[in-house]
Amino acid sequence: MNWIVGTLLLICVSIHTIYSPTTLLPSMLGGVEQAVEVIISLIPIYALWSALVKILTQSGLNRRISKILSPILDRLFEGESDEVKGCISLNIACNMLGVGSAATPLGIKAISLMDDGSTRTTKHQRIFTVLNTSSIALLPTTVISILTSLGSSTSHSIILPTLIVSIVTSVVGVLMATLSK
Amino acid sequence: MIYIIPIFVLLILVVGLLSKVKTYDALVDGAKEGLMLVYNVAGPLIVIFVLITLMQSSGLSRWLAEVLSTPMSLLGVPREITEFVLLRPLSGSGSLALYENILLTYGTESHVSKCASVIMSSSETIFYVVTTYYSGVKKKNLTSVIIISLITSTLGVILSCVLARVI
Repeated sequence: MNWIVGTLLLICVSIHTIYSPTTLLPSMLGGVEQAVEVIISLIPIYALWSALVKILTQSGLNRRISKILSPILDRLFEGESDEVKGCISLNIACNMLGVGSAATPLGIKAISLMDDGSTRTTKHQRIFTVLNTSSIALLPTTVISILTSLGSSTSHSIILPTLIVSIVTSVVGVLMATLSK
Repeated sequence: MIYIIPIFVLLILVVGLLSKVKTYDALVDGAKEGLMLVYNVAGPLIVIFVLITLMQSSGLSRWLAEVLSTPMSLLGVPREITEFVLLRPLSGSGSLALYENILLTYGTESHVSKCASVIMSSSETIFYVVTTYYSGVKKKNLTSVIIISLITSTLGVILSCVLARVI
């Protein structure tokens, strides 16, 4: 991560220095401004969903849900506590339902609980991450609503291909995460 | 669909009451934790956004898109969506803007738009997800997990364009 970002920044700044030195600073500041906008918009979302999710984790419901999903979770996350598996199952359920903002606090918690304190990611952390980046959503609401608003009458035809792609990438991702070191 | 969020919130409150959670205390604790999450995510987000803006303003992303468009079209990914595919793992708002632009330029029923639609809904803003999720743990080397995610999402892009021919 450090050298990827470092190299990319170096290339970008070099190009700027040669071709348009005056736009470098406004461009960087523009990036920070965009980030600050996003960060401010995240404050209410994270505060609200973390508060609500806290009730779920304190109620112990996440442990009970993990028992239902245990045949799959036990295999993928062998040896993790019920609390971790509970966070994972709720996180995946929220993503599937399209409540991604509720999934985030649960995801951060799961990653922290699975941490071993070393500088490298654990196998379980990697498996959980690819399950999230392969984006399993039962209903891609954003894309469907954009397509419909632009006059498409067949917007729902993307549901099945989306699901197939998500499932295939999840399986491939989990395999790679399991085999990688 | 409109009932998912209300039912979800109702369910949380009912579960809390039934299992005798101290609702007010839990909400206060959770809200505070939520603010801490934003605090942890702020640094990584600023760095990534500066990087994305610099890549666009320096012309690096357009150049990369041009260079990669030929190998990508050999894999069945239309040239017209190369820049969108490159931006997708980096920026949610940026790729959404390019996606809408593709729909407006080529129409919702074109093959190009169908590819972009399936890609948009079946992929994630990888860098955002990874940096956010790992914001609670210190000094992690995230290279391997980002590479795995990028490889799987590239496979997803190719598969999306194959399936877009069928629908």
